[in-house]
Amino acid sequence: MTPMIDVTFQLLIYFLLGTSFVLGEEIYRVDLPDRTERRERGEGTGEDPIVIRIRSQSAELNDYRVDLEGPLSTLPTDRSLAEGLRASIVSAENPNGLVSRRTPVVIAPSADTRWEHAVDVFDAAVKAGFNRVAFAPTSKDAPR
Amino acid sequence: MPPDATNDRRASRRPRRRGAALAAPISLGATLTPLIDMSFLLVTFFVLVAHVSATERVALRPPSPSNPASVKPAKEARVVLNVLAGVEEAYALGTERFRDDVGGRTALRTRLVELYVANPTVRVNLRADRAARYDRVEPAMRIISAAAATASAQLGTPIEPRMHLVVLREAEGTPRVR
Repeated sequence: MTPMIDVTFQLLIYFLLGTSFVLGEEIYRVDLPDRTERRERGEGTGEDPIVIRIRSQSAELNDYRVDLEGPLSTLPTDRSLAEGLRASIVSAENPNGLVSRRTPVVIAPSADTRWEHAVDVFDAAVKAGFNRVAFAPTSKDAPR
Repeated sequence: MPPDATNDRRASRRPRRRGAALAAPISLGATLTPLIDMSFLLVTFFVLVAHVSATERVALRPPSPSNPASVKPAKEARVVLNVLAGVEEAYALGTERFRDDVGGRTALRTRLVELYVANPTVRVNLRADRAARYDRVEPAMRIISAAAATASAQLGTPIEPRMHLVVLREAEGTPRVR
């Protein structure tokens, strides 16, 4: 029994140390715009996109400022962003909604916004039920 | 005290094992079978997960939104593009590092084009540090999109540029592993 117990303990220690590296990593699926055709934001959809501007205030998790432009510029501030966005979607249960799930949502963080804040807003839009969520380009040029 | 008297006293305390002298001699030797079994199991394990380690062993902390709407990654061909914060070599694709300048981004796009040409269905997992600035992450998305367009033109078949944003899902109340 001794070798088996030895090896079992070794495996236990290995998995305790090894599994922490990829603990709980998950993904969002994102479709990027096709660069073979130059398309302007919201063009072809016939809908005014909801633009969510973000600016980090500090390195704290929820310390960032959000400004909305477009059809949801007057979102109530007494609830979370995800709840507010969800309440704005028109459906059978919510006939007073202002936009549909197909309305494009453009997340436009400022250049110095922390990535965790941008992802937090992206998550809120996905959780609300929008299925056309994209990130806005920065002014910085990238090779094409 | 004479040594014989000490031995006699010890012998009188222990019960004498009468059959010990008649038992078969003990053979000493290492039992190698479990060792070999476990070695093979470990080798198999490392062979299966080696590609994960090679592409994801970049020390960074992905964002961790509370109760995210993310999903578990499916088993599909993918490469991991890591975006680091606060260092000159901002992008890591496997073991290759690329700087956050025009030359580095061009080299990164060229490498991604090669990967797309080799496998047009490959998905790019964008794994960015939570502290990375947006103007460092967003160019990576544009590079992925541009690489897919270039590979599409080279192959003559349309490639849908898709990527995955990687986040860290942590259970409520679970201490974070650093």
